[in-house]
Parts: sequence; structure tokens; C-alpha cells
Amino acid sequence: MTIFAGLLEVTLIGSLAALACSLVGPVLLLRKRVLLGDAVSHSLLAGIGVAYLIHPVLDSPWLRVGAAVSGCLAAWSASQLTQVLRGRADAALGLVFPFFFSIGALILALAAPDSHLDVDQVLSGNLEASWLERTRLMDIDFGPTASWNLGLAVIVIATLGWLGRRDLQLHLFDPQQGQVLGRPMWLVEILVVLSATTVIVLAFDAMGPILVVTLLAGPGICAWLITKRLPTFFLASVIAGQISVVTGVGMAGTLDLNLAGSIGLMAVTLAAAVLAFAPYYGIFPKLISAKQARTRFVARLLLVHVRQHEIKGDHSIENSLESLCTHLGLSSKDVLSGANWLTTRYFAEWNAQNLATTQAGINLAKLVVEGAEIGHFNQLFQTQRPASLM
Amino acid sequence: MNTPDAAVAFACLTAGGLYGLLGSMAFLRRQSLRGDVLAHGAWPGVLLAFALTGQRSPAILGLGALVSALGMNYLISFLERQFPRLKGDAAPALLLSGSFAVASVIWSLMQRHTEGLGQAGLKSFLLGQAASVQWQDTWSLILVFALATLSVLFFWRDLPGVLFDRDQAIIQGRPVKMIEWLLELLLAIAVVTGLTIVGVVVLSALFVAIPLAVRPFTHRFGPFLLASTLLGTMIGMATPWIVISLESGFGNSGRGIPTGPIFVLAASLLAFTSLLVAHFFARKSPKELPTP
Repeated sequence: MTIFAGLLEVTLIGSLAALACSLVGPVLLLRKRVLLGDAVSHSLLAGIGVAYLIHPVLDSPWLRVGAAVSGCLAAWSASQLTQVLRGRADAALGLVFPFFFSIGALILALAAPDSHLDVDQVLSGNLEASWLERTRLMDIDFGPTASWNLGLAVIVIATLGWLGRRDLQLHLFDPQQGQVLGRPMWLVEILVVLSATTVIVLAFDAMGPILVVTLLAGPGICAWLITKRLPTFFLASVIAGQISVVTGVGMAGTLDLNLAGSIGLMAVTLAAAVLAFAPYYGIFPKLISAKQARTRFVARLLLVHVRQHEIKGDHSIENSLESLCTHLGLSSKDVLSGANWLTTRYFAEWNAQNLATTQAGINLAKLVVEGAEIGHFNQLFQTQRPASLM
Repeated sequence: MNTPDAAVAFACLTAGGLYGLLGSMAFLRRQSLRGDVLAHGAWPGVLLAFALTGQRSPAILGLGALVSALGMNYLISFLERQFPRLKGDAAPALLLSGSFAVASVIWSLMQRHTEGLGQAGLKSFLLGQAASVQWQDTWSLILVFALATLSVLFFWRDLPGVLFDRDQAIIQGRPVKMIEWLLELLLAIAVVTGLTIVGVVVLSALFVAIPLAVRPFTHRFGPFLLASTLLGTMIGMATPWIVISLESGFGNSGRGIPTGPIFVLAASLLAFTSLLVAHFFARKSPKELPTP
């Protein structure tokens, strides 16, 4: 019974963390800053070290406060350095996070050489045990602390984002325009960095740094490829995050796997599936549409070629399949698919081994050669009815 | 890394030079975080190599790591080619975290099936907390450094073209694809070698900090590469000395000062100082930028 309740609460914590991450993720993705998640979660070690120096107890809340402060400091200094380095965000992050991490590692190695708080433990989160820490008020159990923290963060961030939605949009797509309009872009920048850091710290506390990056990047990338507007972007990202948490918890439960790892795996699998099959942008749809474009091109080529020979009068020899292949330098498969395109649309027909144009085909060939107006052209590309051949 | 002896000192020196050299080229290709990403991408390969062969020799694990890192590199460039909007941060972030998730799933599967069969060796391989650096580690670093230097010298005439004006180099018929593959292979080999010896964080710090420390003071390719290699070597030489003097300064409190964090702090403080100095002097005498 307790284990079942624990599983429910872990799922709740996971889905709240995914909600927070998938709200922040699109913002970071659009500003090309997702690796901030990785950098901030490594930088937390400095704050943990300093807090441990000041108050050397391992499970004091000061460690979390120190972690949050150093995370914010790292994110802020990375964004300042990005400006100094003229937009080299990768170099700024790469300079800042090892610096903070090493400060923390040095302090911990000197001050607490034999404590349990080693680097290894900080870097691997433990989602399974996150529900054990409870919020108690006057001896009444109000549920796990992590879910309260994350839920509050989600509410605050969603409210802020909704209130500042216009400025957020400007910040994401055209910050210069925002400055021209006199909007407080610096405030938006600070709020974005602050809320991202808060989410990263809280989610990191529940489930480790790498799953944070997965939940920031995975659902965001899914949403980026299937939506075109900002509200649907956020909505799709949230839905993708929830799907990956639910399926991940299910997989971990049935196969007895590491919970954080399987949630991350599901998020990445979902992103891979979207990358492969998203309409228009996905790998397979792009392949299919490229193939269709090739067929259309071959069909037009064939039509003009056939029509030219008909005008010359040598169509009985030249328009057979073999000579079309040799003269156009195409394989018979290509020629057949082009011819199939033409015949199914009644632009041409097979007439005793020869391809022959119909009246609609003659019109289309004229338009292709003359370089017709696009609208008219597309109209002609619609399937012709046999009646119009008369 | 532990208290420095001669092997550690030479390892620091070589690592500084190696990552200075490769990092400056990665910086020019806007791939400063690639070292970090590849280091994380090596994990599934290490675990799979161990799971398939059941051996823990560094050669086999290193081969798995190398294959995994190269696959990661290929996947990043594939994704960036297919989806231009994922350029920059998104594809590396997805693949980094994805490979880590795969690794932790494999890890939990392995823990179940091998029944706590001593995975200490694996863990030290992954986290780079080798008990101490041996001479053979130092020699492998020196070997990789020599390999990198030789290949950079061999393609010296073509490197600027590949790094600064790729299309022009292709038009001129230079072997651009081959050089890029070579650079990526070198990067992966260097990362996989350094993973056990110096650790992920030191590696990715050196990758960024040393080129950044040099970049404000030179605008030419050759001096940039040379200066970052030399600067890396010098920081590597200074680090054991700093550690030793700090330890003697603290007295014999019985606590060894770890070399890795000192190395990172030295390199990044130098980078911060050089950026500050460059900023300061740029304010004093604004240089005319050449109009494009």
C-alpha cells in the first residue's frame, strides 16, 4: 500500500517537474540556451560547498539555498559573458560551469573529505526517494515537499509568463524591436534566467541534472517541429512532457529500471519519433516529398519531350519507352513513374507502345514551355476529368 | 587526480597542451561545448562494451567509448543538417541527455544481471577518479598529443580554409571533408583518453578557457594555435607547483589538495583576467574595426 502510494507520489513529482521543465524549455530552446540546464546544475556544487562551509550539516535547507544562489549567479554570469564574447554562448557556458563546479569540488574535498556529500552523489539524482521528504504542518502530513516546491514554481512561472506574454514574445523573436518599443527587455531577460534557474534547481533536487536537460530539450524539440505559434508550442511541449513521464514511469515499473533514466529515455524516444515523422519537417516526410517533387519534374520533362516529337512527326519511333529512357538519360523506373503521373491525370496515354499527349497534356506542355503563371499552372496540375478531353 | 608526482606533472603538462590545441580549433568552429558533450556521449559505449565482452580492460572500454563518441558526433551533425533550427544548442543537448538516460538504463539493467559484480573499475572509468595517474596514462596522453600536433602540422596549409571559409576551400578542391573528419576523430580520441585521466570537468574547462585566454590578444590563426598550446602547457606546468605550495602552506593537515579543481581554477581565472584586460584596453583605445 505504501509502495503504491509512493509510486503515485513519485509520478506526481515527476509530472510536476516535467510540467515546469516543459514550460521553461521552449523559451531556452528559442534563445538557443538549452545547455544552460546542464551548466547550472553542475554549478550548484559551488553553492552547496559554500553553504556547507558556513553551516556544516548535511541535510540543512541552507544547502538548497546556497545551490539556488550559485545557480542564479552562474546563469547570470554566463549571460553577461555571452555579451562580452559577442554571442558565443557555448564558450560562456563552457567557461562558467567548470569554474563553479571546481570551486565546489575543492571546498568539499578540503572541508568534508570523509562526508557522504561527494560529487558523485550530487550528480546522480534519486527520483525514487524524492517522496520520502514530507511537508508537515502541526503534525499533519501534507505530501512530499518536492511536489509543493515544484507546484508553486509552476504556478508562479505560468502566471508571470501569462502576464508578460507580449514582452516574452518580443524577447524570444525580436529583442531589438522590444528595445525600440521601450519595453523592459532587461527585466524579461532577468526573469527568464531566474525562473529557468529555479526550475532547474528544484527539478535537479528531485531527479538529477541530466534528466533536467532531457526534460528541457526533449518535449521542447517535439513541440518545435509540429507547431507554428507560441501558445500551441507551449501546449504541445507540456503534453509531450506529460506523455514521457507517464510512459517512463510505466516502463520503469514493468521492467524494473532506473526511474529517472527511463523517463529520460521516453522523452528522447518521443523526440526521435517526432524528428522522424513530423509533417513537413520530419526526415521521412521530407524524403517522401522530395520523391514526389522528382516525379512531378520527370512528368513535365516527359510531357514536353513527347509533345515536341509529336509536332516534329517522328513520335511513332521516338516516344517509345526505350528511346525516352535513352534520350532523357533516365532510368526506366523514373520514366514509368513520370508516365504514370501523366496518365493517371489524363495528360497523356499509352498508345501502342508510345506515349501520346491528350488535349489537356498539350495545354500543359505549352504552359510548361512558356513558363506559365503559377496559379494557372497549379490549376492545370489538378487531375483532369475525362470529359474535358472532348 | 591525486597529489602530484612526476607522472601527474607530465600528464597535466600534456593535457594542457593537447586541449589547448584542440580547443582552439573547436572554438573557431563554434563547438566549445563539444568536449563536454562527447564525454557524456561516451558513457553508453563504455557500458555496452562492458556488458558485451564482460572485460574491464581499458583498451576495450576505450574502444566502446570512442565508437560511442564518434556516433554521437555523427548524430549531432546529421541532426543539424536535417533540421537547421536545431543548430547550436538543441541537438547537442538532446543527444547529451539522451545518451546519459540510455547509460543509466543500461546501468540499472546491468546491476540487476551481474549481481554487484565489482563495477568499481567502470565507475572510475566514467567519473575519471582514477586513484592516481600512472606513467602509462601519461604516455597515452603524450601519444595523443603527438598525433594531434603531427596531423595539425600536416594539414597546416588547409586548416584556415576549413575553419574560416569552408565553401571557398571546397571550391579550391581542398580535402575539406577529410580534414573535418580528422579533426572530429582527434577530438573524440582526446576526449576518450582524457576521460579516465583528467576527468570530464577538467577536460571541458581546458577546452574553453585556454583559447578564450588567448583569443583577445591575437587575430591570426598560427599565433592563436601556437599561443594556446603553449599557454595550456604552461598552466599544466604551473598546476602541480601551485598544489604543492598550497599543501605546504596549509601545513600537514593530512588533506591532499585535489589537482583537477586547481587546474580548472587556474585556467579559468587566467581566462577571466585576460578577458578583463582585453575589455579594459579596448575601452582605453578603441580600435577601428575593418569594415566588411
